[in-house]
Amino acid sequence: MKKRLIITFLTLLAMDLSAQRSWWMGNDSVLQQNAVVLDLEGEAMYRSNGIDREMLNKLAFGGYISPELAERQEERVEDLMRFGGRYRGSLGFIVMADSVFGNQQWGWQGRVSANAHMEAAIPSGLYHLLFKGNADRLDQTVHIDQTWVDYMAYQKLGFGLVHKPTLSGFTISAVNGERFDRLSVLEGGLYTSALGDSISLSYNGTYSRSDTAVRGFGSGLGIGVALDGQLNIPLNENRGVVSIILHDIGFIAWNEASERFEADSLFSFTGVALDDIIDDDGDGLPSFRDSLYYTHAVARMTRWLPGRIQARLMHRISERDFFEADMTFRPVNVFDPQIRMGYYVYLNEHCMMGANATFGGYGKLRFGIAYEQWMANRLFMAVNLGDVYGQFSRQGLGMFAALRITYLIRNQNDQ
Amino acid sequence: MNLKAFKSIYFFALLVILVSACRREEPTVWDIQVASPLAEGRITWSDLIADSLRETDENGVMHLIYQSDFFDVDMDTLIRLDDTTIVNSFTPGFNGGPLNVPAGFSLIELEENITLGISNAEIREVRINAGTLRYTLTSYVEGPLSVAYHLPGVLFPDGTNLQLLAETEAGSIEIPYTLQGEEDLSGVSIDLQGVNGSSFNRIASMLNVAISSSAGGTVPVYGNDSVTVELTFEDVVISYGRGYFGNQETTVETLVDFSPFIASVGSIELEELSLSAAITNTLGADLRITIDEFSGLANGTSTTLSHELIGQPINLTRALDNGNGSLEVSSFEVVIDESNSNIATLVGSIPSEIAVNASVDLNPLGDISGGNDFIYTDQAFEASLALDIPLCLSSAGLWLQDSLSIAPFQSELNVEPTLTFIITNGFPLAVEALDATFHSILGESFQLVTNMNIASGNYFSIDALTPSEQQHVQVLSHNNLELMRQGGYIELTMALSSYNGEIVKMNGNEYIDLQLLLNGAIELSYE
Repeated sequence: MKKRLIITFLTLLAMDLSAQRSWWMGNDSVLQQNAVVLDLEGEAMYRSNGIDREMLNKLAFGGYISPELAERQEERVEDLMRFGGRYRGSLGFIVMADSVFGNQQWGWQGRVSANAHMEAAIPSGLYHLLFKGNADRLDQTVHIDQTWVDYMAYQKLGFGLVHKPTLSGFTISAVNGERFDRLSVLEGGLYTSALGDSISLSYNGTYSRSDTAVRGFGSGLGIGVALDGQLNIPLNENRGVVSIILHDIGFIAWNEASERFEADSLFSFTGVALDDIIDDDGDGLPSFRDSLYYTHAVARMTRWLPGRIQARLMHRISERDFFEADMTFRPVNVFDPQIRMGYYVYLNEHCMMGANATFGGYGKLRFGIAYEQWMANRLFMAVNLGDVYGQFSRQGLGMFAALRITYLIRNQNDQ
Repeated sequence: MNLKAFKSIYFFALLVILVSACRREEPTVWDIQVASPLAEGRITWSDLIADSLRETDENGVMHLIYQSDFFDVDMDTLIRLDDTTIVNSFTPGFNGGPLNVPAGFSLIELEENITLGISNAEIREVRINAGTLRYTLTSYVEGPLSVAYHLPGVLFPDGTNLQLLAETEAGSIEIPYTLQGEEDLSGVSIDLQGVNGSSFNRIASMLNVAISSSAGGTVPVYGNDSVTVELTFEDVVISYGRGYFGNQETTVETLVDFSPFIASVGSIELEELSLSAAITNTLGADLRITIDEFSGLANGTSTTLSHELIGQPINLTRALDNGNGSLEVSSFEVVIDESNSNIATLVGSIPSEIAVNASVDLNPLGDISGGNDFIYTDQAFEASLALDIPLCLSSAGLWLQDSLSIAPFQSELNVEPTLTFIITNGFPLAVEALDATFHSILGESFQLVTNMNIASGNYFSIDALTPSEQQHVQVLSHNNLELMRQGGYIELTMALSSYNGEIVKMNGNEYIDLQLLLNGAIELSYE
């Protein structure tokens, strides 16, 4: 019940990161007329080409995963099951009233945020082993090549500049690394003999992680730098804007207590020796960890942040409507280039709504709706359901929830 | 409700839900179907019978060799000195008194034998490995004495005799003077022929009690004043004895453990075997041994050995002592096989015990050595048997019973497995009606395998045997698996039959391979 309530409320507040369409496409310049823009934002999303919300809820919050539920996920994916998710909470500001080195066209901006990002590529064979077992894969090798799981949590504190007329700008942030985990299997497979009397596991891959002795928010296990920026190029005659947006372009240097496990080996098992069981001095069942060969190193490591690049075109059709074309790139196999197309219309000068279709990223085609509202030229609210079906159906393959509150502080002359 | 109020309530509610809803309330649980090997092993002869009990002959046939003593003669009954205390009290030899006796005057002079009981034998000499002689000298004379107590028959390794020399102080009837001491008897030899050298079990002693020169004057002595000498032999271990051990007839009843095999019912037909019995007489005395009965006991049924040896006396002449423990012994050996007895039938009944009843007659002709029987206690009398069973046998329905202990094991898997037993039988013996019952240390039990049959390997000759393979499927419930995790033992009963009931020969390379496979649902979970 609580989950449904949070979904309901968040749907009313869900907001795409690239909202504020009306900031650029609106007919007024309310932002530029104010002294300071304060911005409080929270966002959480997940997307998959195979894992639906019911499955995710049970994995995240507990519960019994029935065979039918596990089967339903597997039927959606033929080769590679992809999953991505992130959450972010941030507080930022833009100083419109000030200038930069005397240039009134420029202002200062800053932001502090807490971030976590996770993505995974699970071969269908591995998924089958994890959730259905190997009993129906006798005399077969189940491949687990190209398995990839990556998780990173970090905090950022940044300052930058903003070009007031176009709202273009950049922020350079100091990054505090909280935690990272990365599993990569280049090649691997599990073979079960026809009788089930032997199993062989081949594995070639790495697992890296940050220091496990220290955990928690702000643990300070690494330090890095990140660049966020947005370049808005207005089209002629106020027809629209082309934007290039950079998110989290940077890296973290993790401390000397970071660990890396590397393995390239073959493990075969034909059963515990009977003497170990039928014996007063028996050792019982073996610990398989002792049988898996791997190397272990402790050293500093550098990891790229989960950055992405976004290119967007918003073009007016008439005075009251415009279309949007958006592409997002992230240089990993698990993330396909994401394309979004949308149509938006102004209901009045303060209120805009529209619909969009998105394909790619971590998942498949989904349809969303958007609504933005200015209130008394002081408060801005934006709602965007990135996946309407996914928001309300247990079989939805993604969710997108965000809250954005933007408050404008007036110029002193206007008070 | 105006927009402002609505938004306030909206955001407040959102905050509450965000804080309270995102919480993991229970573990994530799911089931998978697993096919995996569980255990494997090979059972060979080494697992069934110790290597020391097996040999292979020139024809490649494996033999079971079982050796054991089948009766013993208790040496302790022939010569043993228990802890013994001898108290002798000596008086001046007159009545009344007091007589004032001057210093230096000899009050008591006495030479006599001390009787030392060493079993029922007539012992003339013993040598002692270890032991202690404690002595206590008590004087009731009211004056100092010089006491010399000499045991000339007790000879120490350095060649000296035992002498107790003491200068006592004045004592009284009420408060006697007491002197105590001890001597180590290790390496001591004792002549037990007494003062005249022709007795037995007698130690010669010489006592001289005189008024001590330190008395200074006379000492009043009464007729009932006495000097008491107490000798205590403790923890005496005799290494050698000589004398006449007497004519004794002893009955010996022995049970020989024969439990490499524990059989319930049935028998095997053995093609050939032999039983060797050897008796060695290391005593310096004649023995006549009669084996009255030799039988095998199997499940309450007795099979008696029939052989010409049974009931017939075996005469063993005495050993000869060449000195320093070097002996010329006399021996008796006999080989009992299927040509002269029913030993194959007796052993074929798979007895759990062999009962031997014998009578032992010591010195049946009396004292023909003139009292010179001897014994070295560290050279034991030997009576052993060795059973040689070549594994050429046939069997039809031989029931065996055994148990296998299962150590406790840890496993976090939640599983209800189907167990598949894959058995490769490389023995030319078929197993029928195999039952396995698991008994946990908690006292509960369940049936693990019921009425399982394992076909014999295909036997063509001793060097040509094709193993047979079969499978048995058993479902193990979660509760039963939990019991097994606690540890316990598996009780096995089975019937063995040789290939087609024929005679089969084994070369020691036979084996049984066992694989245990798991196929079932496993519950996985994480918190």
